[in-house]
Order: sequence, then C-alpha cells, then structure tokens
Amino acid sequence: MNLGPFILRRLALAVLVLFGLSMLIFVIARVIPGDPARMALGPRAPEYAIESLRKQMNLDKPIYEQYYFWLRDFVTKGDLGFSLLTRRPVMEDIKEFLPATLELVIVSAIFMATFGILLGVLAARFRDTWIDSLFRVIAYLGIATPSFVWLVLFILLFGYVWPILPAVGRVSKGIPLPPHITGMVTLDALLTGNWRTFWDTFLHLIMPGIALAMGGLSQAARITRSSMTDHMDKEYITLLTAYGVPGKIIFMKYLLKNSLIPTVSILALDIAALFANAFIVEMVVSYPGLSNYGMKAILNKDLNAIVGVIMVLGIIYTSVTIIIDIIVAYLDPRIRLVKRAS
Amino acid sequence: MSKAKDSSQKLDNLRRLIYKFSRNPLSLIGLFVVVLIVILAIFAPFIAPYPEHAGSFVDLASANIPPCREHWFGTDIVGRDVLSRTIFALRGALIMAVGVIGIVTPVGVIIGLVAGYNSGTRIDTVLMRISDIFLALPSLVLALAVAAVLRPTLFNAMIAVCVSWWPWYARLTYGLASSLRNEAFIQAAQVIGCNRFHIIFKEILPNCFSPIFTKMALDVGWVILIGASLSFVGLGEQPPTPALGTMVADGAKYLPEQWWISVFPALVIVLMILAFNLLGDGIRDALAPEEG
Repeated sequence: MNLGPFILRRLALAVLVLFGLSMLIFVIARVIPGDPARMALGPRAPEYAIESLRKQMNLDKPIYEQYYFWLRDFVTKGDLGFSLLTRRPVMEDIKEFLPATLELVIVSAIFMATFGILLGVLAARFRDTWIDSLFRVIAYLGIATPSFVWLVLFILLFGYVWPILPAVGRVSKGIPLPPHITGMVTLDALLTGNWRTFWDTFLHLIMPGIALAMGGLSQAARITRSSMTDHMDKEYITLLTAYGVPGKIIFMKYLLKNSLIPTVSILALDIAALFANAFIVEMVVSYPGLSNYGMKAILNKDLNAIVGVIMVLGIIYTSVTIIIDIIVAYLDPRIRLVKRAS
Repeated sequence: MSKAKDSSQKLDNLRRLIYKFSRNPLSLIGLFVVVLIVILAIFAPFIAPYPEHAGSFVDLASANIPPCREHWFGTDIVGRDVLSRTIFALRGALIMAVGVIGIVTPVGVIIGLVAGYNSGTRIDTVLMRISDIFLALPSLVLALAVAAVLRPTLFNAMIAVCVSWWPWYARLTYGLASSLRNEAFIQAAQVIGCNRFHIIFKEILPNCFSPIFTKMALDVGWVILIGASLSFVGLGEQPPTPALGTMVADGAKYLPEQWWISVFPALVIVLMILAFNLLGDGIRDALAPEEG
C-alpha cells in the first residue's frame, strides 16, 4: 500500500546519513596527530619528498577543500584515493578484500540464522523442561562471550588439541586458487567444479565463521524463544487447537511466521554487527578480508584506506538496515501505517 | 500530596522492586558476582597475592609456571602472576564501564529530551539525523576507528566508545519523550505557564527513568565487551598496566602449551560480562510492568 513512498523515504534518509558519515569520518581521519605523508615515506625521507607527497595528497589545503576533492573523486569516478600501505588505489584494495569478508559474513550469517532460530524454536517447544534450562545457560554464555574468546577457544580445541581445522588464513599452501569470478573463493571453486579448493577454503571459514556467529546466534535464539512463548499463549492458538487443527500446521503456518518478526529485526542488526566483529576475528586468523585491511589501515593511519573502508562498511550496514526495515514493514503493516501518523 | 506521603510511597516502590528482584535466583547470582568483582577491583592491592606484578616486573626465573599453589592462575612469560594481573585488570574494565555510561547517559538523554520535547520541529529532525549518522556504523567499528586515531590509552578508549554509544540513549529518550509530549498532563503544565525546563526535567524526565535505567544496567555488559575487544587489538591501556583483552591477546601466542596465560583472563571476561548481564536482566525484569 504505502510501501513505495516508505521505501523512497528510507532511501533518501540513507543517502543523507551516508553523506554525514563521510564528513564525520573524513574529519576524524584528518584530525589525527601525526603526519601521514611522513609516515608513508618513513622517518628518513628528505623534506622535499614529504612536501611533494603532501601536496599530492592535498594535505596543505583547508579541510573543506580536501573533503570536496575527495567527494568529487568518489562520486564521479569511484576513486577513493591511494592507499599508503599497499601503494594501490583504495578501490582496488577494497575490490580484492571485500569478497573475502563477504564470504565470511555470509557463512556466519547462515549459521547464525539457522541455528539461532532452531535453538529458539526447540526451547519454546520444550519450554520449562531441561532442554529449556540448558538453552538458557547456552544463550547466556553465548551473549556474554566476545567473539575473540570463542575464536581462541576454537583454535585451542580444533587447531591443536584435536587438529582438524586450519587456524590461519584463507587457503592452505599448495591449494590452487580458483579463477576470479565473484572473488569469493568458495563460490568460485564450486562454480568451476574445483572440489579440493572448495573444501579447503570452506574448512578455513568454519572456525572464524562460527566464532563470529555465536553472539548473534544466542540473541536470535532468545528472541525467538520469547516471541514464540508469547504467541503460544495467545488466544488464537487456543482457538485453532480447539478447532482441531493439527499441531504441526498450527506451528508452521501461524506460530512460526508471527514469531519471526522480531527475530528478523534482531538478526539483521546482528548480521550487520558481524562486519564489525569481523575486524577482530580476521586479525587473529590473518584472514585477508576487508576488516583486516581496515584494521591495518587504522593502526597505520592510512587515511584514504580508513575513509574508504568505513564508507564501504557504512554503505553495507545502511543497506542491510534498509532492506530489513522494508522486509519488516512488509511483514507487519502496522509499522508502515504508524510511521505515517507520526 | 504531602511530602511525607510521597517519600513513603517511594520507599514502598523501592521495597517492591527489591522484592521482585530477589525472587529471581539468577539475578541474585549476578548481583553477588558483580559485588565481588567491584570489591576485588577496589581492594586489588590488598587482595592480589602479588600486587607488584601488575606493574613493570620481571622475574624470568619464575616464568611460565602452570597453575599451582603459589600462583593459582600460573605465571606469564616474564614471570608475573596471572591472578594478580587479572584482578588489577578488573579495575580498567570497571572504570571504562562506569565512565562510558556515566558520560553517555546524561548527554544522550538530554539530547533525546530536547529532541522529543520539540518533536516535529527542525531541532528534532536535525538532532535525530545527527544521531542517525553515528548509528550508521556498528558501534565496534566506530569505536575502533576513533580509538585508533587517538593515542591508545584507557581514557581515549572510553571516548571512542562514548562517541559510538550516545545515539542509543538519545534514540530511546527521544522515543519516550516524543510520545509523552502529547499527553494531557504536559499540555496542562504548559497551560499553567510552566517554563520549558520545568516541563522537560520535572515532568517528562521522571517518567523516562525506568527504561533508561534498565538500558544502563543492560549496557554495562556490552561496554565491557567492547572494552575487552578494543584492548584485545591493543587500543586500550598500554602495558605494563594489565587489561583483560590485552592479556588474552598476548597469551594467545603461547597457546596451547602455556594455555593459562590466555584462558584465565578470557574466562574472567566471560564471567564478568555474564554477571553484569544477569544483573541487568534482573533489573529489567524488576522494573518491567507486571503482565495482567
């Protein structure tokens, strides 16, 4: 009904927000103490080299001019400047590293959604039994444990004590990389029928993927459980049972769909948060992804790269939020209508 | 309403809250562990078996000792007692939690109140859009970015987390304030001629306490988690001051032989967050209105 204007409004808002974000990050990145030109060239570089690099990077101009140049390049040419670390255009770096992180996040998200909902449904189905209590313990632990703790635990268990999973990187030595179709090695390997590569890269994704997923998994499970138990007590379920509708149909057709609405919102936030937590996880296993690249950029004060990575993350995060808002608005018409009234 | 009746009502409310809270065994466990942690942190120099190990200290002769009677958590690679360092590291975590929430709550709440009171006007839109900008990134990413561009100290890590956290409080308060804005009692106050400050702080704000306080309680766990993540990548307190995340990171290099250097601080992190989460859940359940 009002879905069209709703979407348009959200999109316009998102663009505005991204503008503001770019300004914010730009200011933050430029305000840091330390001279990026000097840091790029090293402490023993001659003054004139530093000066010329500074001019080249527009560092001698006032900040709003710098922002204008950056913005113009970004919007017209998709050019985010040069990375001082890798000496390549930032856009190229991003194109290389982003698929890796996407892969990790997708694997993580699938695991999180599937097992989170599954666990929550089981706990609701068997509520107030030992399964439910066990579930509560697991859920509390899952939320309280940072992803890097899970990762360290996994590495300890499955990398050393019972070494079945690789602990470092993306691909083992000697395994050929598949041709670059999407950039995601598992997908490319599948598409080209390269089973060995696929299996190897998949194994590499398991530990970081699951470690990332644990937090969101527990949250999703908790919300699913509480949402389901809330709905199970509602009158329409009692009515359906009284009418003799089989339990399975009640479950699948009515209970599940209605209970999933809050779960979907939380899952969306958590999936977006995966990108954030990936920063730390990627660093630990030296996974060559965007977050690792961003982390290095941040620690080495590589300005263009920092801004580029943050912008990309901001765009992704905002897009995910918009998509989820749209999905939820579609599922729950009340939201569309209420927004109008305010 | 006479003053005496007001304050005895408040006492009753408080008693009721405490009673509700204590019904839940998990919340009590959380409270107990939190109090334990706070005591450990405050009296660290007196409780830790080797308090001098929390500073610059090297005793290579006792390096890498596994957990035993003299060193319950073992020693690290330069011979420092892991238990003592962990106890001292609790301080940093608690300071960060208290500091962040202490700063973010007033700032966020005031912004939310102002935006909510003026809801529908320019001020409202501007303030909320600004907070949306900060929300466009997951908190950890923004905190990482800000912490990395500043010098790595505990204070700067706190600032970084504050920068990424305040919009949540502004949002929450804005929602509450803007929905209260159109209530009859606010309009009545306006009609009588109460000025804006009175309305905002004496009429709207007290009605928002409950959700805000709940959020504060639940957030402590998250802030500690982010703090641990920041120090894990080296963006918090610098050595030799011990920090939980840093200890896990440093110790991770020596897995699995010297597992105790990494594992014990990690367990303490989990325990701490768990305790604060249980406490927060208990407060939330106690403050929540009863379902009919």
